[in-house]
Amino acid sequence: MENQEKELNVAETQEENAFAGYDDIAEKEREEQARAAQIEADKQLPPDPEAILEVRHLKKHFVLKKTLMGKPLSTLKAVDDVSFKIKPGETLGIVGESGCGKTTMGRAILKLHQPTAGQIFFEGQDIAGYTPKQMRALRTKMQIVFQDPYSSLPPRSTVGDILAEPVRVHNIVPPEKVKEYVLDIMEQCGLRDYYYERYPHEFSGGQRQRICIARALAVAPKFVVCDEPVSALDVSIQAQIINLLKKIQQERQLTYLFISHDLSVVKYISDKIGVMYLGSMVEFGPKDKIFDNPLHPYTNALFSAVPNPNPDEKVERILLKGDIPSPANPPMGCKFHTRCPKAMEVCKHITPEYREMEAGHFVACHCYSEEYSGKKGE
Amino acid sequence: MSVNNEKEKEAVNATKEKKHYLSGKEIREIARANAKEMRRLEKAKNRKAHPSEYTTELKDNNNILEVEGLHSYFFTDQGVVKAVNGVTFNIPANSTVGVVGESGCGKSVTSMSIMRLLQGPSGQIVEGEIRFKVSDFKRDEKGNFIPVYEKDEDGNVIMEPVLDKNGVPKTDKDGQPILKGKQRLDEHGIGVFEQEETVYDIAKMPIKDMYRLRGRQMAMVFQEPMTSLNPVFTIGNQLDEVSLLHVPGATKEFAKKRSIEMLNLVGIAMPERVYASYPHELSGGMRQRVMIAMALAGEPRLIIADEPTTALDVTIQAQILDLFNDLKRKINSSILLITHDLGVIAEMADYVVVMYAGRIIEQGTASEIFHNPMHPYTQGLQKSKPTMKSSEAKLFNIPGNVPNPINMPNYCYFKERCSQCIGKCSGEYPGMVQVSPTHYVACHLYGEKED
Ligand SMILES: Nc1ncnc2c1ncn2[C@@H]1O[C@H](COP(=O)(O)OP(=O)(O)OP(=O)(O)O)[C@@H](O)[C@H]1O
Ligand SMILES: Nc1ncnc2c1ncn2[C@@H]1O[C@H](COP(=O)(O)OP(=O)(O)OP(=O)(O)O)[C@@H](O)[C@H]1O
Ligand code: SF4
Ligand code: SF4
Ligand SMILES: [Mg+2]
Ligand SMILES: [Mg+2]
Repeated sequence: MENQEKELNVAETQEENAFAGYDDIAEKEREEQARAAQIEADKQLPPDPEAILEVRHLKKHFVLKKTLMGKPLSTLKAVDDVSFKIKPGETLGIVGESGCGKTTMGRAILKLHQPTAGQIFFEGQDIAGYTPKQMRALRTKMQIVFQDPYSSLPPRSTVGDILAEPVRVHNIVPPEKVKEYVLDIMEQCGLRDYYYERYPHEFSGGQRQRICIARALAVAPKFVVCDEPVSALDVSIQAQIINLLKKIQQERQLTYLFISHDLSVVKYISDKIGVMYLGSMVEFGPKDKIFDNPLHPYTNALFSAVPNPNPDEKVERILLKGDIPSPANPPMGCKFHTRCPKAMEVCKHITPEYREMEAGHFVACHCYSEEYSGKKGE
Repeated sequence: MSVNNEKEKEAVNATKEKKHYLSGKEIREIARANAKEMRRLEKAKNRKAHPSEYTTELKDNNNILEVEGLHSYFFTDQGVVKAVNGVTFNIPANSTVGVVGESGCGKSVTSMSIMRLLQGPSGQIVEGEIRFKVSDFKRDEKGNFIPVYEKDEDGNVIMEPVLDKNGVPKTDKDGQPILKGKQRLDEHGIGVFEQEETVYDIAKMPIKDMYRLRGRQMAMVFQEPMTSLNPVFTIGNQLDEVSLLHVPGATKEFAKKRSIEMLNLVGIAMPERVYASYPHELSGGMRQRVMIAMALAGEPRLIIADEPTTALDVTIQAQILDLFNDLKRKINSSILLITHDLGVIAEMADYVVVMYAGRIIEQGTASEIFHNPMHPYTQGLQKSKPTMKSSEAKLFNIPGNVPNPINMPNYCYFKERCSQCIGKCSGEYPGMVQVSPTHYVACHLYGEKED
């Protein structure tokens, strides 16, 4: 019955489209072909030698339903064709709506999810096809601070063991120094020495989050995915951890992929910022450009919703109306068109190109294309 | 963090000397003392008791919750962790009380104490009262709920015939139709029952009786969703259960309809997909919203929300905060909102409580705490926040650490970190001083006029 409804809908929209002068099916085919050609062409390019991490056309699709034969019936495109580069010592902040694929992207880059397609160059090597064994050798270089500290800590080990084990296994410091080294990191993360013998369940949410940060930093990594690393911390300890992350970054040229909903934190720590919406990167650029001159309508709406820490001032917000689409069934054209305050007819049919507006500042929106921005009145 | 550095080596040695480990004998002694205490408290928790034993009165009938002198401890082998060490505050009806404080200061333990969900046997409420106004279904002598009947203009109950399974009116032996009062229905088409208000001291309630309160009277949004979602059941399964448990007369179909409606309300796209998903298939923010939907499904009178929006972007956060306010308006609920996000507090809270190391150090209206923070810790907190405008090279953070919760000093817990210390601070722990009709602070800087 559900299928029938869907078909009806398609028929209806097709009629409307014919009216508006678009042929969605042909358009979709054309777009897909163009995209496939682009991916093929980009595959031939050598990795950027200046970037520590370069991600090209990364995709991660989850299969929701299978036929009896195991063929996928419906898929959820959690990450759909994302590309970017990070230089060593830089922080890339990722922001975007809950469920837009930030965690999935972070995990796919570290191969904790096998990517569906795309290339991931880490220090010049394409690790997308690496086997788990090959990845193990890279594990000390690439670390992650998980969004959900509780389920990522083994419940039956003490904090001391959780932190010391990888240090010992990877020979980060001589065996007799391990405990000192671990206690030092704990102290830097604001964890007291008497926590050493305690188990994860005996901590507060924020303390557990700091255990995860300490665990990631302990193996002296080169690249760390920080997934909401300070979300459970009060502002003072948050400041302490952010200062620590920055200090270590300067000392060791550490690179961060920093996922957070707290825009003031992202603004503070990042060099570059990527804004994601429904599995795609919609805007990307240097921090100052993004904050001073946000281009994408979604970025604008996001920035206007930040709560103001002054109880007497009420701020004006751009409230997003319209249906929040699902990544299992994303809308045609621009994925944001169902909620975009600036949407035009063309947005419903043609996917906007991801183009560079000024040096290093990319945006995917028809408002910034000469071809379409004039068509508004239609 | 490289240990090659001479200077850092020294620092490491210094920290090493500071720590004290307990000997095996000491640990055994502590464990024995703890075991006795825990056994006593567990027994009290599991006893059977008549409601009159824990029925009490509120000090101020405008409140829905009054917490007084609450002490919640963890009995560990290293010693007793005094996680909540004498906390007193009120939640007035139909208002939002915000709680802020340093990570690990006892915010979650306070809320878990109110829900009576402390993990036993080591976690226990040792002392204190938690008075809570309950509006429960009234029962007749047989223990059945009493329906609310529809009445006509003259105040007489409207009668309707009793129907049998097939919808045919039942008749008595004389062939007369059997009549019964017509029950009032709510907007979901579910019968309304009479309610009554009583005040319970939750801290003294046997743990079994708490089941009646959780969900409908008070509900909690937990800080870490994965700890309270069951990984082997679908979201739908877990959400339906809330309605089935708390709405008398709810059917499976009703529960599902309502679950989907709730998922919609918390801004989840394609609620049908999420309804059929398992917790691990959702993003962090989706899990958090599922938890919120679950807490709100029972339409509780007191919502305890422990960091409810940490995994949400600002647009959805705004939507969720609105939802809390809607419920507050609709059924006069109150909210205990724990968050470190001062922006959220500023927007939502009527009153703010600031905690430090298991105690309340300052409380007042939101505007008092924001415009006139008095305790040096609260002032430090205000300074630490990176704002959308700030661009300093290094963020301010309050230096130093909280004292070890196993050996709390008897002077001000903030002394080692305080930049405004005065001679008096080495003396007794500062008492609460009232600085305005609603503003209280525990700090010697403001103590002169009192005592
Ligand atoms: N194992 C899985 N199976 C199926 N779907 C999944 C799985 N993991 C994630 N998803 C889906 O992928 C989408 C993106 O999830 P992801 O966790 O990456 O979001 P996110 O951007 O990190 O969001 P948040 O800010 O809420 O953490 C969601 O719709 C989620 O339901
Ligand atoms: N099961 C336990 N055993 C021993 N100590 C515990 C246990 N649970 C919590 N604690 C301790 O109690 C103190 C208070 O914890 P609580 O979870 O209330 O902090 P919180 O204020 O919620 O902090 P956060 O903001 O980090 O969540 C912490 O110091 C913690 O280490
Ligand atoms: S392409 Fe159209 S719908 Fe998409 S963001 Fe731009 S204006 Fe809005
Ligand atoms: S009592 Fe003294 S040490 Fe404590 S906060 Fe006040 S001034 Fe500082
Ligand atoms: Mg996530
Ligand atoms: Mg907590």
